Amino acid sequence: MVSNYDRILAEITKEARQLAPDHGVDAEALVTVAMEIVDLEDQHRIKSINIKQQVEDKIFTTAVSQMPLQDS
Amino acid sequence: MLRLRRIEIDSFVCFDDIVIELSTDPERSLTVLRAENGSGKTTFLRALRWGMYGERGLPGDSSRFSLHPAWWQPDDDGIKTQVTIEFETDGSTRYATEGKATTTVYQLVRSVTTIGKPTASDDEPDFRRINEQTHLMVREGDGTWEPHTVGVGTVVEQLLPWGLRDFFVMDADEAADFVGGSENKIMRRQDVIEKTTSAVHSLLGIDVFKQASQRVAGIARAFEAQATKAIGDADLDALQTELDQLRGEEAELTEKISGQRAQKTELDDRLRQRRDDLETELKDIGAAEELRRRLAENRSRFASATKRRKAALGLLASELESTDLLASLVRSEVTTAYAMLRPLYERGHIPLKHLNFVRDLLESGTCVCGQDLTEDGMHRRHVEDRIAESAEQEERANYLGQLHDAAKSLMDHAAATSWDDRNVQYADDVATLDKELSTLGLDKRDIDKRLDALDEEKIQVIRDEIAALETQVSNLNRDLGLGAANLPPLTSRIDSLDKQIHQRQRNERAATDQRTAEALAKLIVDVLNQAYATIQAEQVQELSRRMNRLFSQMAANVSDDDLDEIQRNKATLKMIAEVGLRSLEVNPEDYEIYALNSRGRSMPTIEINGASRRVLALSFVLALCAESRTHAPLIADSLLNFMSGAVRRNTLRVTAENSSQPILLLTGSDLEAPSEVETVTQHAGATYTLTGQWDAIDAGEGGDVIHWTEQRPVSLVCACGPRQYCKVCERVGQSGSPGWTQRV
Repeated sequence: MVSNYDRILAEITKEARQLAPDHGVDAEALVTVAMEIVDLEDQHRIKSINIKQQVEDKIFTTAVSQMPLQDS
Repeated sequence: MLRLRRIEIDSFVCFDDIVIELSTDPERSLTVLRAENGSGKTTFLRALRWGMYGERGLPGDSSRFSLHPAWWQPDDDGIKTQVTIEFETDGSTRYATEGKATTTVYQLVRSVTTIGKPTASDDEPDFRRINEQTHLMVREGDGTWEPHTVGVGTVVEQLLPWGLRDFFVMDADEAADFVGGSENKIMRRQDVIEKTTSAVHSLLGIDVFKQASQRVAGIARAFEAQATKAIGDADLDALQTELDQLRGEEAELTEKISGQRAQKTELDDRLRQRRDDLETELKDIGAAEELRRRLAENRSRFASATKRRKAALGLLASELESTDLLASLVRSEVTTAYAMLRPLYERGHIPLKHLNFVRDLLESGTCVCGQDLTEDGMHRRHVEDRIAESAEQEERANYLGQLHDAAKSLMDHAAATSWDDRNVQYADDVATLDKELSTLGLDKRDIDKRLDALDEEKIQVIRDEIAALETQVSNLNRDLGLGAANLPPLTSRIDSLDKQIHQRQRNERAATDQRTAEALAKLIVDVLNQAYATIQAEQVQELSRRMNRLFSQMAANVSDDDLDEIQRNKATLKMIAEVGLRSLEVNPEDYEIYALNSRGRSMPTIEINGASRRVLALSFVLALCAESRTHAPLIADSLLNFMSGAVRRNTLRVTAENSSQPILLLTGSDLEAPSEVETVTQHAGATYTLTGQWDAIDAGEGGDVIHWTEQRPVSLVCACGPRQYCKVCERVGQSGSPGWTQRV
């Protein structure tokens, strides 16, 4: 878990709750995925992980499960 | 959360084997190691750094650093150095503020062996280290230690990252790097900024934040590219039209094949039925063939039996012509005659053999009695007369003799032959053969009767029907084969089109998903950037204010007398009105510590005296730990150097109160004032005193340590706190001095 977790969580939560409604996204899901990404990035600093794939997967999974289909 | 529990140092420079149990009491978290200069404070710090980071934790060129005991003379046997660090976490890392309910205790053991090495010059180290080993163990519920699955480096890096080594395990001189270096070390401003910025970014998570934002932005672009690629150029309508047409053809062909298959099924059923019928009939045919075979065999056996009967009758007829038949027929009469003649024969009455004997004597001319039987002799005539008189008797006797012989011959013959048996046998054979012939005749009549009952015509009809059905099935199979041959290409093409259409649909869905993911990724970037901006702007300001508060607490009531003489030409704490952290105009993401005088003018840190720099650096460290909720030990060596009076007391107190686990390496002079002793007494859960013994090696120069117990340059440890002494650490003047007590 990333350093300064409490503050980062607080700020991300604040921003997510403000931005999520306009995009039809559940704010808590947005907070969760954002914090998971930050945590993955933190883990990536000290150990080798396929971070790009993992972050991509998290976003994709959250997107298809949380967001309404976008018009092309 | 990270809390050190125990440090054991074996054969490291001046330490033989010391164990320091660190305070883990949250209410009294301070641990004080008191040691006079040169007694092992810095060595303790280095041992700790080496234990955590290995060779790179040693100062300067590590290959030249002698971590082996000072008294050891390099040899081939070598000497083993080991540092064991026991620590606990609440399951979280340094970055976590919400750990697990239960703490986990680890034991990090690092060891190395130093051996002698031939040298080419005096500058070259006469030793080298081999066989460095590191083990990380985790304590199980039952108190046993088990190897930890995660590597040592990863765990240490998570808990106390190498980049922050000066932050958590600090030599006060190095800590001053955050404010431009110590008194004897001038640093470039850019290096100071980089070091400060690195600490701020790391502990506030800004660097991770920024990297996450950049990475997600890149992934958003990748999603966008994938969405564009997924759409493709294929004409979905044309594909669908062709697919519909082919599917119509396929349905027609499939229906036709289905009808043919139904017809074939029906024919197969009929064929199967007729084959069953045929099989049944063929079973009768088989029976007929069997009957014919039996008939032929019957005839053969009949012929054989007839032949054998004829032979048996021949044998029987021949027996009727045999002498044995006569003997058999007259056996009774012959036996009677033989019984009558036998006594005569045995008595020699028949035949008369003596007359021949007499005739032989006449022939020889001499009687048995010696008389002359020649022609002229009287006796001869007499004899001849007697022979003449006996001739008739002789003839009868000889006849009876022959009769005796004939009777005996017939009896012997009858006794020697089995005419009766043979006759019976031959008669039996003939009777048996007659019976066999009779049976064979009956069988033949039965076979003939059954053969007459067989319906050859019916079988032939079934065979004809089967042949016709097989022809129909064959024709149908040929038609089905043609249909089946046409179907696969059609199906294949349909599958291909189907796949293309599905792929196209999947691509469209994927493109939609990719666009959705792209939108979410962009949203995450916005969230991260907004949050990042707030943290960067607001939290750094909060950090700055917190830093200023801590600095003010440490500088409270300070006077110039509290500072070292040699620093009087530099700015003092009293002159500093405000300290803090600010971002640089050229790069707002870079930070540096600033100090302002009472007129608001920035004071270059290089112009600030050493004690003030330490206070400034410490306020930064403590504020940053507090602001980022970092719960980690703060191990500081010589923190109070150049401080005295109020600043020393304040710094000691503020450090003890604001660090989660302060571990301070202090000199005796740092703890002289009652208020300092009181602070340590109030906050310290563990106190130790290190006492160097190397003055004893050269007793002539002497030192103020009273009890020399070692003949080697080693440092001993005891549990004495401030203003305490014992037989290990007692120094000249302590005994009997006011405020000093002997620890028992």
